[in-house]
Amino acid sequence: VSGPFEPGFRELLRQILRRAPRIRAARDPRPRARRRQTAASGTFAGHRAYSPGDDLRQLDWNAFARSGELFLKVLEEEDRRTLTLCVDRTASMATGDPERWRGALRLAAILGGLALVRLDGVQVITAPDRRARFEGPRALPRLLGWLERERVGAQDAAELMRTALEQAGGTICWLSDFAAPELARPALHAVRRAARRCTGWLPQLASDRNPAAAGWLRLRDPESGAEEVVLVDAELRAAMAEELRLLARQQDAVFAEAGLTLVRFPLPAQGDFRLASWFDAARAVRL
Amino acid sequence: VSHPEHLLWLLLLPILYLLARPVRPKRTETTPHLAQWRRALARIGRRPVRLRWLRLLLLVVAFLAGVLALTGPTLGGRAGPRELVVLLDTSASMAAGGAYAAARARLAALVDALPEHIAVRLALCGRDVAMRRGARGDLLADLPAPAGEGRIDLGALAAATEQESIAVWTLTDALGATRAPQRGALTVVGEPQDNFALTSLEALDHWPLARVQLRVAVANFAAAERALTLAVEGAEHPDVAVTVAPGATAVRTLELQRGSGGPVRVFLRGHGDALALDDSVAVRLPPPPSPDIAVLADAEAGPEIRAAAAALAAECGGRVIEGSAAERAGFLLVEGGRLPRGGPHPRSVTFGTRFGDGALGPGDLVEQPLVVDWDRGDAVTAGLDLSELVVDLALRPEHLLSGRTLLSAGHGPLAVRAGDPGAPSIQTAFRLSDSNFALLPAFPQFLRRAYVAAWSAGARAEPDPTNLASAAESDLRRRAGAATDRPLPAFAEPGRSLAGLLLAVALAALVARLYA
Repeated sequence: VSGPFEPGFRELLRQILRRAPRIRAARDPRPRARRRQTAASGTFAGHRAYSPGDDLRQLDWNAFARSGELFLKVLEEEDRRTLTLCVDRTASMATGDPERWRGALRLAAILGGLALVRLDGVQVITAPDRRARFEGPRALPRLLGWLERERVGAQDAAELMRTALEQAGGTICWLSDFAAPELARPALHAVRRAARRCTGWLPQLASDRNPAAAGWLRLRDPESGAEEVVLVDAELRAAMAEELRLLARQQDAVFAEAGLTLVRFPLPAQGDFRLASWFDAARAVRL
Repeated sequence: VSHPEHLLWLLLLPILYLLARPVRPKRTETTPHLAQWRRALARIGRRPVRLRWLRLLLLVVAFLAGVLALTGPTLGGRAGPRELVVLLDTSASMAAGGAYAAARARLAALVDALPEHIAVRLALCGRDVAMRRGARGDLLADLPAPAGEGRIDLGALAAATEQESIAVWTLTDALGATRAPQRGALTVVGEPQDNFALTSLEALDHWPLARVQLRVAVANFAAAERALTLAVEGAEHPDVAVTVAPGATAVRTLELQRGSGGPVRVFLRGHGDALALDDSVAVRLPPPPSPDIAVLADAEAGPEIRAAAAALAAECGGRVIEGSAAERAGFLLVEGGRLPRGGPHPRSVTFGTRFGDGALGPGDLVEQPLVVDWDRGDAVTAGLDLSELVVDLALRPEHLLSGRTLLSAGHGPLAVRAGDPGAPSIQTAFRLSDSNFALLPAFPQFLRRAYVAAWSAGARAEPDPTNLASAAESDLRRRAGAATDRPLPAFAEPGRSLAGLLLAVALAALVARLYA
């Protein structure tokens, strides 16, 4: 099996990056010097109401003494313009046709490439001990090479996000299948408490909306190894479609609770490197 | 358990397991949405497909209960024979003194008293064994009358039949040739009695001659001397008085004339007889052949040929007829002359007769041939003394038919036996008038043997196969072996059947399986 970045995709990536200035979302009219981001240390920027789970060290006790209500101090520090890519490498990503993992790597390459062209750099994190930083457009081949060497494995979503919050700056793009939305909830709340911008990216497969074909089928969960034998018929397909819709709503709800956005990107077919098929990904990027 | 062979059905248990195993799909799909699939199954009320041990266990329980129900398990009851085989002695001795009637009454009473679950088979043991089974009403219907010699070894039969589940009951008089068995239940009927009997019959039939000899043996199975009378029915013979000592046998030979054949019965008359079946014997005599003896003789023939025909007719009970009626004659004597080339008349003796139309020349005759020898193995000439035979003139061998040579001369055969072996013709090359054959003592014997050989394919006297004629069967004086009554064993009593309960368990397991 060839890697995720075949010559066709590399050509597509070059086309996307050439058009990057014309992508509306990629143009940031704000001066670089005014880009700031809330952080744990820096200049006081204001207050916000306390939410359960927030860091108690950031409580403004003086404001509490004055008003009787809990407020957190919001500090602002100058942030370098960077993008952090958190890529889910759990075994569930290695499913589907086309494989979701390959689609996620390509999506990460597009997002990372745009960040290298338009911003100061990009950090890619697939595990607490597997992260890399790339700066400048010339780092694109190294970025692709690094992504190509990544393999699926065990991963904890909360740990991944904690690493991203502590070790990386800028906007966070979290690429995952979000198959278990409840597991993503603590990580997203941590992002919200840290006042970081984060967008969820879900490389979407056709099977995320429409169940498998009819007939006897053995289903296997790649992470737990659990199996189930089912007879897929029209009734079960309808019930499964409803469950998939419920799952999508849960995913949206988890992001909405944290005030964040989840972007579903329908993965083009294997070998489809037309610009039109991938253009939506570039247009949805807000760096 | 009455039918343990049904336990073999348990060998099908592995098949139940194989059938209960879930389907093995050929397609496998890795999916992160296994939880959604499970919820979708639950949403439409389906259970995951997997081996359900409880359902399998309930199915196995139902199967085991069904198989056990098939084996016919019972609780309680009593072990013992479930089948009764009755050996009923139907030999001729059972007809004496009402023993057979007593046996039938005992049998009928027992069959009526037996419980319905006991199967009954009836073996009628006479000359051979005839087995009856089926409805009890049919068992005792049309029982045959006692007859024949008891040739069945009741002891061996009872030993071979008796099993743990089969009881044997023998009803016999233990008299005559019958021995009482040592195994199984035994009921002895009848009592020892005095008897006299015709214990053998030997027929000495001289067919086709009229003479028949019947040799019979008269036995007295009593403690006193008996004066008896032998009588014949179906043939002319005077009654014969026979006195037989106690326990002795007297042999008498009855000389009978065949007459027209048919059944002949010899019977005994006397007082103090227990068994009538052994007092007579019968024999069927074959009818005599055509009694007419025809004579054909030319002008040169002497009186010897006619005298010989008359003597033979007297011996076989026939008559002499003219040669013109030879076509319907039973035997033909010819001297000289010429007969058609088609061959001799079957059953004939020709003396110097030629066949065909050719003229007789000097070269066709042999003067004073020397008799060399005769066939000592043929039934016609065996044992005859023909050494004194002198022939003056004889036909050359070319004028004789082809066949077995009976008499030889220096130049060739003088007499031959030709034609159908069952109805042969005997041809001599010389005339009686040209030889001294008619004067020899062997000549009447030659003619008689030629007549017998002509009818050699005929029948013999046949004794009636129903004749008892058995000294062992007719001796009613003693008991054969141990003759003490032995009772029937206690038969099995059925216990309470568990089949219904097991079937209910099987049904309950199947119902529970529907909801498991």
